[in-house]
Amino acid sequence: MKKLSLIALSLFVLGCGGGGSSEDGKDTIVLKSKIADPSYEYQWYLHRNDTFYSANNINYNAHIHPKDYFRKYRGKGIKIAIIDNSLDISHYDLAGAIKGTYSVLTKSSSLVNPYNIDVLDEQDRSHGTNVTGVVGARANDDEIYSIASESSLYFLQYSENMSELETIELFKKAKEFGADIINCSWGTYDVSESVKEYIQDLATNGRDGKGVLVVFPTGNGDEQNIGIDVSDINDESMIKEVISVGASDTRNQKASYSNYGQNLDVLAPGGDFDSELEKDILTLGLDNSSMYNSGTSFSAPIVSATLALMLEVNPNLTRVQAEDILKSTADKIGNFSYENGRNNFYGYGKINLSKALKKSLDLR
Amino acid sequence: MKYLYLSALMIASTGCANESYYINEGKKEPLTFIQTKERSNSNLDMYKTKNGIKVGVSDSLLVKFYDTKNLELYIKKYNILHVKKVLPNLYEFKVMDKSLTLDVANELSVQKDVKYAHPNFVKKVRKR
Repeated sequence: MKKLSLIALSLFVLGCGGGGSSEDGKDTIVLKSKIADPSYEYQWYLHRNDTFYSANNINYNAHIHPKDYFRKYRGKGIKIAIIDNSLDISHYDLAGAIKGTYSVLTKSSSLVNPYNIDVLDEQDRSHGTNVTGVVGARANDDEIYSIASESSLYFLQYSENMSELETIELFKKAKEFGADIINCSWGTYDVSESVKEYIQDLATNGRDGKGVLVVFPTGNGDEQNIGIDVSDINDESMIKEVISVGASDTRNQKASYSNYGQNLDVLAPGGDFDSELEKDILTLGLDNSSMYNSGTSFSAPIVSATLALMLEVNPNLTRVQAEDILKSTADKIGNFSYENGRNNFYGYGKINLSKALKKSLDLR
Repeated sequence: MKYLYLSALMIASTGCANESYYINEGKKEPLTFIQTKERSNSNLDMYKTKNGIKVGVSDSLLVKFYDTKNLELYIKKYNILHVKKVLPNLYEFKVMDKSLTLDVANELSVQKDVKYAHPNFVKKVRKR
């Protein structure tokens, strides 16, 4: 979305102490080391830091309820393909994360530098880096924490104006890389039969018949950023086999900009957009920076990364099983009633990481 | 006969430039021709879908066959060039002029051995 701002984290001073959250998971296995990423305490969308939440008037349950699972599972062995516009591949918080790349612009593994791509809005240059940061920034003493910080990432660069063949080419590359999950924080509102069919085929027959998990966001509303019903729009997010993700905000409700519709599956935090920066999604920016951004683009990678942890704990989950777990464990937030577990504004509710992982473990 | 057929198609497509369509999942989807300077690429004709989405049409189209036994027959009938096999039973073809792309795709769409056919649309990818 349009609102974002580069920040120098060294200037980001808040009176939050320690970085420890009050998550209450009971450990049954050896925990990984303490989360050392300096901005973790500001990542309200992942976990609750009581001081930060209180200072910014964030709803107590606006996060995704990780409990201690972040210290047990980090997506190790899971391959996530990210199809997006550009990547700061040398960002130090992605060191070692990117295992493969491909660009439709160069028709090779060489990515076009973020500063050399065509964008309508200067702020869009960092979009792919923002998304990649949310999916898989490394767990270290730099910048931010991500859910799938030990997953293997594959970055596939799209063209701003892309043919159907090029779109298929990117999904084919993702398949060649052996992607378990494909995150697409974009859409065309006009998916063709050929692209739709290939996505459906990947989601049904990929991953040795278990199905690749393809994640698309629903989009960010009309020109006034008011969420619209996309049920009758031929959008990628409305493909039945796609995991369709809308955005929740710091009120722990559907974000006003988040599109909705008949095939919306779940919500995940996406930031508030028209509010203070601290209520947006803190992620990686260009040139080794961190920055805030908001939109359903950032809800989708939270879901993709959560799916990576689910597959890590139970690699045999099929796409259908994983999607069912995500839906059945989602929290029924908001002021709308849920009929048979869902409604068109919230889907099946907001994802709950600890419940989804527990259920994935139970199915092993 | 082939050239007569193609000439008729070209006249038809020129005469109906503002009332075009393509077939998506068996339904006619209207396309409105637009003049645009947005993309200074003469290889594309620009249209708007009923939802206001701009799409570019080049001389390239994608055809998915149930059965490819008539493939050569279609190549001759529509004077199209087989460019490549994209996926099993999915082929890229090129027509002699981009003004023919929609009509050839629409004609192929209704053939019994064709699952679908549509232009290799160029679309704006929208970040979300």
